[in-house]
Amino acid sequence: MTAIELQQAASLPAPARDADRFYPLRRAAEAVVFPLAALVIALALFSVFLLALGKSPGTFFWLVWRGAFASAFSLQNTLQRAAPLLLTSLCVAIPAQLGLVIIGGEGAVLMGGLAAVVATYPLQTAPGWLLDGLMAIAGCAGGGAWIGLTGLLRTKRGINETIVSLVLYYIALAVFNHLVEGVLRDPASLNKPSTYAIPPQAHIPSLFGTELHPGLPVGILACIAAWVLITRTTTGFAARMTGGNMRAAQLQGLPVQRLMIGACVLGGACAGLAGMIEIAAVQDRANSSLAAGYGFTGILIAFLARHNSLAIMPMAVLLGGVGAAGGLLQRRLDLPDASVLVLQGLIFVCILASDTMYGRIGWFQPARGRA
Amino acid sequence: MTGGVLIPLLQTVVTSATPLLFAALGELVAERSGVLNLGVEGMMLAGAVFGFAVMTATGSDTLALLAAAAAGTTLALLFGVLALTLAASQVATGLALTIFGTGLSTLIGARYTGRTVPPLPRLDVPGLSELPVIGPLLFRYDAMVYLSVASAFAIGWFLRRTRGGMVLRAVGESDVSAHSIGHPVIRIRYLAVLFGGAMAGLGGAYLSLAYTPLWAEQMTAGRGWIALALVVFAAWRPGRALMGAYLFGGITVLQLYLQGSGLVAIPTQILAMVPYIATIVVLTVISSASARSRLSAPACLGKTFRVAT
Repeated sequence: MTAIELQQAASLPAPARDADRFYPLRRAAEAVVFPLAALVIALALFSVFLLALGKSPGTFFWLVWRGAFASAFSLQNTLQRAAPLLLTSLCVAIPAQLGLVIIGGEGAVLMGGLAAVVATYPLQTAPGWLLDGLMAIAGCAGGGAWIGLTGLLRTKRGINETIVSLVLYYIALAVFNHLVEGVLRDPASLNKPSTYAIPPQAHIPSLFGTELHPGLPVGILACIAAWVLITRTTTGFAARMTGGNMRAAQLQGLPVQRLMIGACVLGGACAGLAGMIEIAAVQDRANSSLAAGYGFTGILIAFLARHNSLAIMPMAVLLGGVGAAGGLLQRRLDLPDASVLVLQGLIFVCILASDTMYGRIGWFQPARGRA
Repeated sequence: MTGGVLIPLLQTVVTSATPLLFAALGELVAERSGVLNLGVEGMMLAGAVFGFAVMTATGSDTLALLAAAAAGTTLALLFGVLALTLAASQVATGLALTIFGTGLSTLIGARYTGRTVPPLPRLDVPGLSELPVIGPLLFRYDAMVYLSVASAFAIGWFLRRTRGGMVLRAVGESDVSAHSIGHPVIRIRYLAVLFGGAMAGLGGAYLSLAYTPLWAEQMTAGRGWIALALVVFAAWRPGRALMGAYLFGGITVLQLYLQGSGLVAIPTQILAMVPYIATIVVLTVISSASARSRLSAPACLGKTFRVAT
């Protein structure tokens, strides 16, 4: 038994501990079995749905596999889509530790991306590494300020952070469009209004001859760092305590307001960084391609991962893969892009339903509880 | 600007406000009972596509509107099962509903894309509709416009003056107290959420059957989210929701008009921000300490209620 398992066992009443040495294992099994079962049920429901439309579920899942994971090319495509999702999921998962539900990460992506582009303008001839550093700082600052504003309104004025963050997204979108189609517009971009491109030396090259850009390692590192911060530091503990019971945290003298604003800024900075990486490694300029919904898919991923920063990684790859397969599905099965949304919605619904089943199935409970 | 331009413009304001008003009133009732359903956009899209499909199949306005309300209610029922019976997070469930509704409507609507239906018939009042200025401004709309305005007053009366309305508000303000004096909290919330779904469905159907009588993928274009902001903007009052819907509708139309007319004095994107900035300003103002007790959100908004066992 590890120290943690011992600790968990010790927190049980003595008879249960003695009667069921396997309780920690059962608990771990519960955390794996439930999401998997939810996933299987969602896929089954979606199959029924496809049959009703006269499409073959077998072909559908085969095509998702082919389009997302089967070849080196499709796997790269999947991972490339997963990279920004890792960061935008953190924009939901970090504030969620304090019980805040932030759904405006897309706004932070846009603001971060825009700030990153603007940061390069005064220094057209600076070396690439300096520009990339500046862009990263600007991206984090732009995104962090945007979601931080939500945190500020939540803590200082008590306004519902979910609604504010969403409303701020629409404002971000309008500001973004206004600037991209207005003062920042490159007159050469005729059909698709774009800003002036970043200097060529600021473009971040792909890794080791693949199509993968450094967004993926950055995202993975961010997830691991967030996990360490949340589960292994006193700040993280204070944040989780605030999420568990805010009154109790206040009475303990924890700086609840500062923690909340900090979590929002940190989450926003992650989403802003996602925007910056999309610009520096993929687009080279800001235009409507940046508003590709990474922020919104991030919400789904964070909830699927139950706000666990490590679980975000497989979920982001899964949803990145489904997104990557979209084009193939459209061509082969004549299914619109949105059929993927039906699948996402069903998975979301099933995971939410499975969430409420924790602790209700006897086999996963300590032996005494089952008697 | 001459009257010849102004009157059609004001008529467009009314018709563009109607879907917002339906959706916002439904959400307002749900939120007054303490439930935050972020799935309005999904329910509107479901209403829009099912209304359109039934209209194409049967040609009956009434059946189409009933189908739209039923589609919205069905999604709301799904929300209820997850968020009320199973006590899942309301925010997450609402988001799931929007994702699901968006996907479902696009999938079902694929075969209808670009097709049109005859718009809902105008309900002319003999005599009144022919009056100059007042006639076209007040008496030349379809029945749904009048229904939406009447609903605002009816809901205001229901919430303020009837026993049922007071019970609903009590459940929203303090679920535990309402439960302890014997009100069936979950059942009342179910009814409020289902009503919200039906209204959102009608709002969506108004878009696909009257405002632009055709089906287009994701045709609500964020109106469900605007409706949510509108409820907050209205400080959870039906009368203010009515005014707010016309204000938001007016801004939308002004934006389209300025874009089309070429006399762009105000950049259209700045205009697009106005409803949202107004919402944040209103939120900030009503959350000041003095106003909070009078105007703030239902105390139990978004909180999960579990019967203690």
